[in-house]
Amino acid sequence: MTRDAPVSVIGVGNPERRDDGIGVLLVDDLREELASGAWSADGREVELVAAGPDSLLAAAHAADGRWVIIVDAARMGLEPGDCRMFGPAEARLSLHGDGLCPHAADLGETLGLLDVLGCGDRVRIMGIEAEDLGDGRGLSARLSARLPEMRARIKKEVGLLP
Amino acid sequence: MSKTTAKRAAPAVSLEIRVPYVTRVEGHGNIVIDMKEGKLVTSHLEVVEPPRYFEAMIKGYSYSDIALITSRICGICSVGHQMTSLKATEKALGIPVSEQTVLLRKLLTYGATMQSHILHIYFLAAPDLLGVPSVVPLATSHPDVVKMALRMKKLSNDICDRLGGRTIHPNRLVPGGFTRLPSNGDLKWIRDMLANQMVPDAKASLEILKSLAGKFPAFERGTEYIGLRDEGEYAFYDGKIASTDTGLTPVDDYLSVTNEYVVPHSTSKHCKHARSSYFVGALGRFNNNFDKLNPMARSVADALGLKPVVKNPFLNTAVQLVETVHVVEESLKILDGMIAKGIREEKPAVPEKLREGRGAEATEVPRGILFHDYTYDNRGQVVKANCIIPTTQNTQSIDDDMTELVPWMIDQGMSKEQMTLTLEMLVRAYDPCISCSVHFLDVEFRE
Repeated sequence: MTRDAPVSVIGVGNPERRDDGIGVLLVDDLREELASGAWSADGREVELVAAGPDSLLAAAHAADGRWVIIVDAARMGLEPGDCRMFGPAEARLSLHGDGLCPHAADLGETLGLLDVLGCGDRVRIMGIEAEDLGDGRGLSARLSARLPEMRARIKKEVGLLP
Repeated sequence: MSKTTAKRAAPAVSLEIRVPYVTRVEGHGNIVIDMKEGKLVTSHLEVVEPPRYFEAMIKGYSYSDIALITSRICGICSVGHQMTSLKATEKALGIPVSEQTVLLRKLLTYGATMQSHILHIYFLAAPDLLGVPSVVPLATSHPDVVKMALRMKKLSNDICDRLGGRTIHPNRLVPGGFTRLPSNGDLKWIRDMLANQMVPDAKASLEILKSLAGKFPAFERGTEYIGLRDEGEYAFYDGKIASTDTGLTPVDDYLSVTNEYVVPHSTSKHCKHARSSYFVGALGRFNNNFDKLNPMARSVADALGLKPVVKNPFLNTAVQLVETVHVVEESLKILDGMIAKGIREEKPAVPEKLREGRGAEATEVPRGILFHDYTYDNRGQVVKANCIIPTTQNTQSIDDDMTELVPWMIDQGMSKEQMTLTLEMLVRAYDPCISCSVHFLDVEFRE
């Protein structure tokens, strides 16, 4: 991979399930910043993708030779709103292996596919500890309050990628 | 793809097959087969998803919210649900749309069709044809093919993103038009990518599918095939309801075609029209619109030996490649015209005055014909809704296929393991969206 290869930030999750939609909401926010010029990413090509439930899109972007940052709600035993950036090898994510279905290619399956394709090292995952995964729109107050910090963390990671 | 028609009686064998939770389909469904001494007692797909209640959920909501809510019925056909919903609302409330809006909606519909068909061909159906349990082993044995499939999927999603604002669940489509229009640069980018990337990848896909043609079970069962038909083009966005048995029916009379009913073994309703069941989806469209195929798509159909009436349900997957090529060609035609004219800035049309009204509309989504039907009050709020999803229309056809497929498989000397796999392949060939098929059940309690 060449230096300054393009980056895709993929927000996965369901905005109709409260904090589960954090990845999609962050991507939407960053998209506005990029479009308005409030964020330039130092001229690097950045694609912001609100993938919703379609985490297989992360595989499509990584297989296309791009760096991929997957942003998703997670249960990591941290405080709600805490974030952690990690690579696939640093986490144990289940790979069901009984066949992808069009709506529910979960992150474990997607990362398993990328590993087989030799693209796993192009992927970074930003897990955000969720508080409320109930029905409805809008984030919990604790996650909402930390949105600026989360956006800054993603932008920093884009800058850190080779 | 030789033809064999299943009509022979099964030998006096007893057989029990259970496939709990068929994989590589959306949602949960079980295959149940019971044969006792040569008599087929049970042969059906049990849909076990709970009802979704979308029709009840949208009662009281404003016309401006309905398409966004109903698009959540599905994560794959979200574009199709939006189109159908918008058209039904516009018909009910008399909201006009511009020619540019219609063309952009068609482009979005074609992008969503490409995405869904490619996903089904490569990620859901191909493992069966290559004898592996999922796409993950394929990525080891055929990494370049899987990367190509991912590339095709990405481009399809990118088209929806550039036109609709999102890869799925687009957020720029509203009754009367778009809240934000794509730029001329977006249109040129899509055109170049389709011409320079998708067309070569589609041609490569044809060679792959040709090499696998002998892997499709040579089973046939003629039935009624239903899809939209438009005299001007291979119908996806609009048209009348066409049946290979009975001809054309106006969309307003869709209930006379769908005839929903409930069965004990499934939470999805079943449908029937001229026969005990009918088939919607790629085969339903192809068998009613073959004469409207674009030239490259026609050559793909010829290369795969496909011409109407295709009666082998397993070939629904092959026809999806024909349709993928067709919508690429159709998109290029639209894009050439729009690029030459340039995007014209326009705001979404709004109703002059809210009024009571009813609108029923249909669109072809990847899995078949989709109906949305809304009744609004004079405040523009929904008082009644009905959405009939393609998989609902296909469930009885799957059951009827199984009824003929089981004796056919016994006749072919298949082992129980081979029969189980073939039954799973059959269900997957329909590319079902099982959880979408489960919609509002009318419940009457007996006091």
